[in-house]
Amino acid sequence: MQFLKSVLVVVLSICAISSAVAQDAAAPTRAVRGYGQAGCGLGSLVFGAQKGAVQIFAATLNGTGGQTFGMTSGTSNCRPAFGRDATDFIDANRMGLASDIARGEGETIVSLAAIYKCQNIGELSNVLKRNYGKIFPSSEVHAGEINQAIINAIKSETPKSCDLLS
Amino acid sequence: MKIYFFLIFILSFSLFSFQEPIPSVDNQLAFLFHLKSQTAEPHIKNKEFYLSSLEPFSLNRELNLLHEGFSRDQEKILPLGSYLFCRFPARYFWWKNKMLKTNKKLSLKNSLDFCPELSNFYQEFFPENIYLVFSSYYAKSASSLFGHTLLRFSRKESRGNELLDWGLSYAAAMNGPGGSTNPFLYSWRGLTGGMVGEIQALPYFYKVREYNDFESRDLWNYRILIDDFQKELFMYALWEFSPTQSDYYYLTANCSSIILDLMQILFPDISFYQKIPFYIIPAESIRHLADLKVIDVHPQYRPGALQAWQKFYGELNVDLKKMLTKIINEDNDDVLYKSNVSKTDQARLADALILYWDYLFARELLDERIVHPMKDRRLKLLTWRNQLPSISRSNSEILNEEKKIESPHFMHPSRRIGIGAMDQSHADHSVNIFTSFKFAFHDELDPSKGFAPDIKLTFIGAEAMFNKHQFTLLKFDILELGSFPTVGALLFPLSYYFRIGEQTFFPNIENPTRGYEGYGEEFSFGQTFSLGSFSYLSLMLKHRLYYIEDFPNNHHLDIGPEVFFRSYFTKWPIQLSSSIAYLKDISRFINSSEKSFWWKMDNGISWTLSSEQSLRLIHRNDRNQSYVGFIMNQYF
Repeated sequence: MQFLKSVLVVVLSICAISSAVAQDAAAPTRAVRGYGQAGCGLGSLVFGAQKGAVQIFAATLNGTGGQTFGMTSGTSNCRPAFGRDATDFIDANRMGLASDIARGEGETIVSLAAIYKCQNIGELSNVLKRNYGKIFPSSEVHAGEINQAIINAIKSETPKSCDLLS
Repeated sequence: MKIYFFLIFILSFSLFSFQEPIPSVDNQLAFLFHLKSQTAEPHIKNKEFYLSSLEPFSLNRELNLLHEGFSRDQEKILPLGSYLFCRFPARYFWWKNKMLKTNKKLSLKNSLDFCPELSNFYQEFFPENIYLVFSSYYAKSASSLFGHTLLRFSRKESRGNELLDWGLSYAAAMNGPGGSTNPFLYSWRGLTGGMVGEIQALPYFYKVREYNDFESRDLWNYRILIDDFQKELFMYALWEFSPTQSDYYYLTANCSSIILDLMQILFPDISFYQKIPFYIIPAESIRHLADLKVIDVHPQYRPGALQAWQKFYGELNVDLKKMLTKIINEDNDDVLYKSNVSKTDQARLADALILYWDYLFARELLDERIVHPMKDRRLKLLTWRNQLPSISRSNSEILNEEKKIESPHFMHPSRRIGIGAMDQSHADHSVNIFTSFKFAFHDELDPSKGFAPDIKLTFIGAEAMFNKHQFTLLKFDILELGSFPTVGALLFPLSYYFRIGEQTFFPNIENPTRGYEGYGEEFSFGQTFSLGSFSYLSLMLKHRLYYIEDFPNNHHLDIGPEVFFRSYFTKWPIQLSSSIAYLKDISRFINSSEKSFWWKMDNGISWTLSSEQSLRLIHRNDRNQSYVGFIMNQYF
């Protein structure tokens, strides 16, 4: 009887150990890839190789004419998220922004209002229109300078109107 | 005794591990691997996309490994981000919901805390809505002839302003492996899989600037009809695919095919690929998804720079148009600055001039590396405009009826096959069976809905006739491309037509059924004028150059003026086309006693019977050849 008990203990122990070992033993033979991060794909917000408006043209100015369908110059560089700084937006949209501010309304002003978290788009439009000459002093002004001029204008005229700038 | 209970407990636990049921393979699992069916071969070659490196690929093997891995994820505590489900959340999503064995759908958002990178991605990208965006055909680039599709993820922070949304696009990486800026090389590699494709995420305003402003392409936004559960799965599927670099194929693994693969995961009970040919054209994917009712067929339309300019110009009154014409013709902005019209009219003129310049000088103005006097001139005008009142203008358009019928979801299927009869009046009116086939895409007699009126494109097409005595290949198109933008709104764009392929000629009056095969090209250029709604007249100069092996001169070159008329009736489903050319035979194709000028005519009328069928009547005359016939076409 004692012998049978011992056998039972051994058999049950072997079964228990085998089940635990079986899963790990399978690992080396299945050639499983490492788990973990997806790498610099969407997880790190892929941008083109060059920052700013230039990257639009990296995709379109190569070769003759412009080629866009299916062709981009983007690589999986990891860049910080957009929307927390208006400079990228201003850089890519400067033409539309210059037109919209001069006209006193438009899509790019609404976008800026969203970025700066401004409550009153009409008020923002008026402030920008009044300060047009300071925001666009020349055709060569950089996006960072435009952004700073806009911030200065808002802070000077309506300091509490945009949550991100208060 | 206690030890027996303990051992029994251990045994029960291990037995439970052995007996944990593995879900069975189903269509959705196959779709998660971007397979078109459970037995299809995988097209993603990147080893990181799979758990097993053993070949050949086995869905069951992958499932077993997933089951082991996900089971272990449940049992063990691992460093954050190291769980298998962090890398394959879509497969985990599928597995977890299968393990539940209920109809209740389980969200996995709570598990994201274990995967910091995935969690960041999810929070940053989870959209209010997902749009399938189609950018219209771009005739200036071979790679853009069929348009492009991408995704737009609308963000709550955008407050409804699409510029601040995310744009996601799958494309070939020009500076990736195999990439090249040489247009011939990347065209060849794009066709043969010599480049890698990857998904790129950009703020959507970059894509708007690229397509709308720089290339003047319209954007059509179709909302994808999915619920939050499907959106969650879509995010996970995107995450799984995003680090993958797969071979890019212009026809079969392109922007649209990847989007279809991702969307197929969300609709496992609908087979997306049943009616789609082995190649995928972007516009056709839109039509297909509309037919399956997985996208909202009331698209948001965003006009390209040209369309925006033409619309604005069209809304000016006659006097303002005259003044604007004077300013542009004289290239003198002082005409505007010193004008005595009202402030509001001055503002309209300034806005019009800006739109005109923005279209005409898009490259010079958009590229900050280019120094161009137009930049200063534009700033001067805007500084002056700044003093004038606002005039409300929307960038997004409510589709008018004229534009609505161009919505790409209306397009006919790209392939066409037809059969009919043809009478050869130059051969004693012998009647032949007439057949045609086209691989893609659209000509002026195909159903016009879903297409802009100014483009014509054939990629691999053929016409033949036969009777009991003879089979004749009338023509074989390798490529036929026509772009016919209309003159107007102070613009004089060039229209052109190009064809390369085979054409059979019947020059011998004594033996009118004896055909001579010629290989070569045709090219026409000129200008197109609108005659009113949906009627156009093109005045072109045409030439044809063919090499004809069996004929004395071996080549056929003719040249002359051509008038090309076409018309679409929106009230009735009829298309009309007539092309008349008066050509001179430069090469003295036949002997010198023959007159060297002749008329070449190509006329047709087609009746659209349904979205997939049309009936076409044709009449053709080319020197000694003369045909009248009809053909019944099926699009598929």
